[in-house]
Amino acid sequence: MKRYLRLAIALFRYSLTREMMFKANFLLWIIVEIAWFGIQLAFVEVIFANVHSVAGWTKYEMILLVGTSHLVQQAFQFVFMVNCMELPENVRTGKLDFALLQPASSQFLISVRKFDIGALVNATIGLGFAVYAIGKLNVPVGPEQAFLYSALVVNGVVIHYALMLMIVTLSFWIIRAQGLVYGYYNLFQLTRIPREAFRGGVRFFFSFVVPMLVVANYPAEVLGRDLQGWGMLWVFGLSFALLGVASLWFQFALRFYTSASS
Amino acid sequence: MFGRLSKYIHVMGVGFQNTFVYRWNFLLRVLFSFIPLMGTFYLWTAIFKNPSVQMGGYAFRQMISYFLALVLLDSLASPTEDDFQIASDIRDGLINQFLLKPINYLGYRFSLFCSARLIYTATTILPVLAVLWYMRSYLAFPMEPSTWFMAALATFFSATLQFLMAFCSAMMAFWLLDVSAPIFIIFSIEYLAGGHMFPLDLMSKRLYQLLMLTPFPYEYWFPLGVFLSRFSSRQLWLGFGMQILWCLLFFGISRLIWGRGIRKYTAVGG
Repeated sequence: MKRYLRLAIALFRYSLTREMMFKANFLLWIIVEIAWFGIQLAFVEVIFANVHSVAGWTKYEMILLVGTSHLVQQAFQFVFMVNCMELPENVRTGKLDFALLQPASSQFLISVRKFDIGALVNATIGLGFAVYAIGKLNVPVGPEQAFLYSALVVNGVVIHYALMLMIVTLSFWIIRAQGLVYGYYNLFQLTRIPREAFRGGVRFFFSFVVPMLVVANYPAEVLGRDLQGWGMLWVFGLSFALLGVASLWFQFALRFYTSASS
Repeated sequence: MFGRLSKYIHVMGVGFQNTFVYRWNFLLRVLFSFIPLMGTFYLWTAIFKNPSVQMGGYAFRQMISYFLALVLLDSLASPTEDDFQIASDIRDGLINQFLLKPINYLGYRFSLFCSARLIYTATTILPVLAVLWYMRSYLAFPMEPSTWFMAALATFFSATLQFLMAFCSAMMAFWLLDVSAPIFIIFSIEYLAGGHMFPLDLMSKRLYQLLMLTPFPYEYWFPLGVFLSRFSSRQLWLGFGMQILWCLLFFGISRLIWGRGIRKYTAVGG
């Protein structure tokens, strides 16, 4: 465990050095994410110029949800996203060999290789808006809520990672799987919608099978909507199970790797 | 005339084949694109839950129709990876062959764009029709053939405009090593100011009038507005005029940037 932590720190430092080599590009990518986040906020603004609540959520509760969704997504991008996105290309070109030959867990090496430092900046912006919304909602936040919020944010990141890993693992069979990665961007959009807006089978599917409605809704509800205490413990079990399945699925798929270039 | 055109028709054929080489990638992309539509449907259903809600003069059915028509427009008129492919052609020196042969690169890319849009539409038409059939009670599509004709015309100009704007932004690759960040920034502006996120007339009147002077609304909002009969006849003709004007302007800009870019071009990797 300690060894992996040291490895992660070394990789983080490497990523930081790399990013600083292309400073303009680094700043531009931060602007890209700010622009897309701004669009979400503009949408909330336009909606609430006409209505008072959406699925029972008020304006600032929605801003808290959008901010939290951004925080989780950017935290996921900070550690995992770029690496997962590179897997299909590494499988296609045979570059995955390099990860397989190292004396460390292959899953760790393909998941935590490059850190997206810009995403860290954007995660902070998401958190900033969540804090701003909490201020406007005027609800007291004690240590218990703050702890639960943080834990549920991490939980959301784990869910994103597990699902993304499962999706990109398909690239061992499907050559050129960018379509899959693009698909995940579509899933992100569901995390910003109040879960009460969904009904029936769709709500069940996106709560338990592909739990996009757990990712940001739960942390936002703990703070803004007084979701009571420990009744939502099951979501931690869910992400843990997803992570286990994703890991097994990845190990299984590795057996089909044919190392294209050699 | 036909002789000159036939090579571009051949390019379209190559485009068809290229798409089908990676058919799984393509099919998954199509499939996943229905997810946001579903989210949009549930979100707007929640917004309109209170029957007294008035969203800038839109009823629930009109709003849902707007987003359903947007799916059709996207598949018919929006470039998917064209800009990134053009940028990588320039960066990797692949345009060398076009400089030496009697084929116009803009025409070549436009042929590929058309073939991709045709394939995409042909593939999506069945699922889209299924979705439309399923949601038929929510639809408020026009009845008059003339409206359909006008909307088709506006969609054609929208496709041309979207392609030319993508072509122009991709040509930043003559000067920049990595154009993806600037392209995504432009895309985000198109998304909001073009009416992809919500109908533009939900904004304040002043902001709306200001936006209508830019090219973005003519990419999505104008063809959709024509389809849903949101415009008076004066606004309609003014809109078509602006659409054609922006197409001509971006065609001119593309010629200008191409001419400048070629002089700067170093044929890396040629």
